[in-house]
Amino acid sequence: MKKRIGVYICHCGTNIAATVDCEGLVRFANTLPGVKVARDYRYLCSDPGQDLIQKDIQELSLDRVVIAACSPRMHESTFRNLLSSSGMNPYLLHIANIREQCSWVHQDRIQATEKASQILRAAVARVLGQQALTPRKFGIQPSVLVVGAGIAGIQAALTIANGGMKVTLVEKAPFIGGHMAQLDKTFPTLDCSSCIFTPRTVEVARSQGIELLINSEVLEVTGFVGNFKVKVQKNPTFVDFNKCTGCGDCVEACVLKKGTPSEFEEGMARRKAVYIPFPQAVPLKAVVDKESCLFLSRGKCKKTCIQACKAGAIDFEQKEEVMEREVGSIIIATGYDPFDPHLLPQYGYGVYDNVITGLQFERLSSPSGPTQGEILLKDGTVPKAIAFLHCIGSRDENANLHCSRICCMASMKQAHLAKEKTGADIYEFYIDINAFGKGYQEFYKRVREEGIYFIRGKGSEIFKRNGRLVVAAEDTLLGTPLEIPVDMVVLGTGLTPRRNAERVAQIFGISRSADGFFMEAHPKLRPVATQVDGIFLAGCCQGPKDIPDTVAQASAAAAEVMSLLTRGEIEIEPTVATIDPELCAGCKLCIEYCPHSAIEFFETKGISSVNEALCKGCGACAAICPSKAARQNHFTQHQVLAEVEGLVT
Amino acid sequence: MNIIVCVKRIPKTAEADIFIEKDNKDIKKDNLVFALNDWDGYAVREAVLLKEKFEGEVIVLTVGPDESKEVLTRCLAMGADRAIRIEEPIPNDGRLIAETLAKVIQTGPFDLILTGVQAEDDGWGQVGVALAQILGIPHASIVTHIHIEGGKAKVRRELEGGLEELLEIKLPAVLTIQTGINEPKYVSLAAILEAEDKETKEMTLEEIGFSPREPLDATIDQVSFPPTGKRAEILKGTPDEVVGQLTEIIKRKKGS
Amino acid sequence: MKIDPKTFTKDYLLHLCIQCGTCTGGCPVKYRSPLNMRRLVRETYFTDPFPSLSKRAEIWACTTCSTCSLRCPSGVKNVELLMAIRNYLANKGEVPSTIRDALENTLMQGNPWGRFRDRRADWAKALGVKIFGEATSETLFYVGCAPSYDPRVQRVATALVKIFQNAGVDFAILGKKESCCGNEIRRMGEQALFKKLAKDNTILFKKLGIKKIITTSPHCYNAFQNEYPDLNLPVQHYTQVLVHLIETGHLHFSKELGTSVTYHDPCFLGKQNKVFEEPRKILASIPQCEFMEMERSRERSLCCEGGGGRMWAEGGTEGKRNAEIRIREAVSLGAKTLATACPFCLLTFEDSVKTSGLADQIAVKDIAELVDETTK
Repeated sequence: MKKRIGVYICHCGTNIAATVDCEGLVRFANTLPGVKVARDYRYLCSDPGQDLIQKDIQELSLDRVVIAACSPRMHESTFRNLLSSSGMNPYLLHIANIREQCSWVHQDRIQATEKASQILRAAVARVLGQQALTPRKFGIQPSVLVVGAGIAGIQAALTIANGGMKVTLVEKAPFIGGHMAQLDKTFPTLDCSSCIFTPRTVEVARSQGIELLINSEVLEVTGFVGNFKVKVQKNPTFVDFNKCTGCGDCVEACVLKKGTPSEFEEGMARRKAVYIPFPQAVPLKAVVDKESCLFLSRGKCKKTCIQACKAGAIDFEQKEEVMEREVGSIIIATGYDPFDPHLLPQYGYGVYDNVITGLQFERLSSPSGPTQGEILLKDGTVPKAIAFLHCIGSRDENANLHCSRICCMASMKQAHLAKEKTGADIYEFYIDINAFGKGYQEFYKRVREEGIYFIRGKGSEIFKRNGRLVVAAEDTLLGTPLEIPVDMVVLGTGLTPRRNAERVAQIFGISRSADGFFMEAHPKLRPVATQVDGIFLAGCCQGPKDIPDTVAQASAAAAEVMSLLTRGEIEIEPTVATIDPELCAGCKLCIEYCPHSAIEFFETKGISSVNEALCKGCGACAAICPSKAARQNHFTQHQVLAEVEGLVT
Repeated sequence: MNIIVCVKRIPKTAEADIFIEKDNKDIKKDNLVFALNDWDGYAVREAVLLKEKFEGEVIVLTVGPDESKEVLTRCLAMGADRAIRIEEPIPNDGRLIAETLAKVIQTGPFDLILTGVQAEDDGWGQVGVALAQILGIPHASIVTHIHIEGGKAKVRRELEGGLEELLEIKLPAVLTIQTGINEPKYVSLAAILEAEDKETKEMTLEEIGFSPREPLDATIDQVSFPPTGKRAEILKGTPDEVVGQLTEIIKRKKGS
Repeated sequence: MKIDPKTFTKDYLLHLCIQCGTCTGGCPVKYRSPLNMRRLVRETYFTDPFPSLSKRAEIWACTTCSTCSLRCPSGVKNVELLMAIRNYLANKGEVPSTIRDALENTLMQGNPWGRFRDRRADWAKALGVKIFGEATSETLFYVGCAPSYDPRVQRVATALVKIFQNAGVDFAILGKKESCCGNEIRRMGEQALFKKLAKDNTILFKKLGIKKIITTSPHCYNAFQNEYPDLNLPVQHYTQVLVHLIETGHLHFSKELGTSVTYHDPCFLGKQNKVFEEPRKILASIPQCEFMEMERSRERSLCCEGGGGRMWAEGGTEGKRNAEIRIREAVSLGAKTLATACPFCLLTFEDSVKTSGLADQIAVKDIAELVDETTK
């Protein structure tokens, strides 16, 4: 049967027409086999342009359409929709890219037109062999997994739960809140972090829609958008939370006299082996740390905690428990690790007691912290001079190249708090001040007004002289080297990807960008999505962010999830691979090469089969299959070879 | 201003262990490093400085075997424009060297001839003076400063007792140059490698039309170390011990 | 070898500089000279200060300790830039006279001091050391210029020979065939001479069938390890060798040291080549050696100012020498011995211990000497 192809050539204003002779291309198209009509137009993507094509489809009964225009990434979906609404199968369209691959990269009009003709000929040859395809539809589980219960995860979980959907909120630590729970006041408004945050953590605990799994980790994710199966391991806390009242009697009774450095206090204080992380912790329950617990680590202890617990909640028999959940969508909000300044030995971190990180300063400054909010040196005295060093571990080839975004503001906020609390001389050693957010520049002005010394020069080195810490740097605006004696140095440590980011990325099948943070699907237009349909990102796991941006991104991720879940079903692109059971020899080579684990082997039949819901249509199986049983819809050998032939003849 | 500088390749002996050949006529040279005579280096530098001021050409000239080429290359690296080498073993006779040089010099125009005051190896200090005599032009020796003005040179000479003499000399003339007249520049290996491309003309005695008289006016009879003085004492031991002994000697002498 | 200031920006990544001043802030001569690395990077990036550079004495003040480059957050090659400027000046002949002499001496005699080439192995005469040419070995003990000629550092070379003999190490030295490694030559700006030395030495080592090199000096170690393009032989600083000999039981301590020792990290061993543990391990194995760590140690060790050609430079700096600051730090710590593992550090400290009048309070020793004293 003779095909009836419509060929449409877009000028794209002058983007194409300036370099390619579009009218000549129309004449050329008319000479190609199967072409019923060929036209050019200024902007095919515009309404009149689309009307033109629709009219032809209906009046000339076209059965194939070729659009010679920009990259299919731009407008393939536009024209597929046009075909659908005109009564054609959308997969009978082909886009010939004569802009990015031709007019934009060439200057000679004659040669560019020649190349455009070749591209067009290939497209027509290809479209002749294209077949109608129908998308598959799947139902969607109306539930969500949120991984990480810092401010990002909490915000997303609450938004979704308040919208009436079930949320499973998984947190690795024995409490929720993440880094925000550790902060004293927040910039630039100086709201007390726990005052604004605690209501949200409490809301999580009380929410009917949120299943909170603390001390838990995601082990495995299978399935696909709308139908993920998740395995979560809940690690033992050795305390029965149903019985524990959070009274703290066990903590008092614990015989670990010296204690161990408290994670929550960033090592600025010590805790017992059984402990309540902090007074506002949610859940407010005691937990046993098996590393420091004498009984659990060495098997030898009087177990005074058991005797002390009136509720009988301590349970050393607790084991880890693996549970499965089925969810329609996943939000990853695993946060960040602060930069470890041991890696830059010039700053003497770990050598000098009073060289501390920004997060350690937050604990000092917090009313619930080890000093009840007083800024004190290790020996308990008040510092007379404090230096804040910006960009430690950020914007540094020797550590991380990225800007951590929050440290300038956090440092200035801490400088303000330090000034207010101690009256000390305060020095800010900075390279540039990045005060980019709402009210941030105003805050910068405010701390300058408060008499804090700003020195434009990065701290080069910390050493001790005559018992005091000395910051060596250059005042680059004067061109003068400086050595300023201080009592305390606060390192503006940056934000880095979690140490286990690679493993997490593997579990969820998502990618990481060059800086190591999880990669969004598109930096501008899809900033909360990942390349895996149905998996979204929120907060610092995607890149350094302050609290407002984190909350905004978490809300956006929640909105994406709800938009997806409320659809009830999902269409899967039909451009997937299929395996012809007649030809398959069962060699399993395709299973080995499939990057999306979308091929299963059926032992009974001895053949492999593609799970269309998981297949991303990459074509790896089709390329590797020795018996040509694996085929890629819309990219069949016949279609691709026709296109190649069109190019080279 | 065209300047001719006469140079010599000499063995460096200051730091070296010196041995005398069996025939007692010369020192052993196979273990020594050779270099441009120190005084000549100052002369070349001075010529290049004068050229920078007055333009013209600096030609370096030597009598010596193939190995002497390396000192010419060095002079070219220092800024001389071209070099001429007369292929002949360096004679042990100053006058003979001067006659050979004069034969070449007479073939072209020149405004000034510079040589070192003396050579580091034999220290005769004859060639410059003899050359002036043969060419029949004025000369000044042990020159520490040159000021050229209108066909004349005002030169300062170093005298004994810290005295200086200021002379006015009509050009062309021969000046023998004292060390310290200028601050020598560093001659980088890169510059030396580059200078290998500059012109070096090599000529035999035959080619310049010169046949030396025989026999020579002066011949070396014997080379020897001076007899060890009675009052010299070589201290032995580690540096600390030597210092200790020395201190004792000084204390003793001071008392006497 | 041509140096083109126009390509400096590209060659040394000057365009990446964010002018943060980390380089200048950590520079060991920042108070001793007007050298300002940040400003120099800016000037050579943005303007053409080359006509005036030769008049700036501070160009010769840099010790090439490389603290600036190592800490630079933007990866600017500051020290390479400085060496290129020196190279530019050297090619024009505009180097200070003492540097000029050192370079000419090296070309002529194979060592910057201009000492007679044939006397290079005089120090080893009575030690029964094998010399390549007369004997062979797979291991070259590359002695270095200072240990060959300087009476103080000859004691280090001698100590090492005794230790190696004691531990049964088979090795030989090059004797009068040994030439300068060129590390400092390159740092004084004579890139062409460095290349010649690297080429000649590489050919010599290969011809003699040498399989492995041990150096006295971290500077030679650095040159062989990082800057010889075609050497491809394993190179060890002697501290690495000694640790191995101690750990494998080849070297036994027979005496107690009975004193307190602190250790100064040489820049070319520590900061630049990350050999921090070996010297400390050696000191920890010496019996009755009370080890004390100085305030500024490892990556924060204060440069003694002996590198980068400063051994041959005169002036260009003012005020109290870093070596003296270092001696005082060691004395105030209560250490009776300041140990190091580099000939230049040893010499600058020996100088400063005398000029500061602290010779009766502290001794300056190379780790090799301490090991020799306790293993006899």
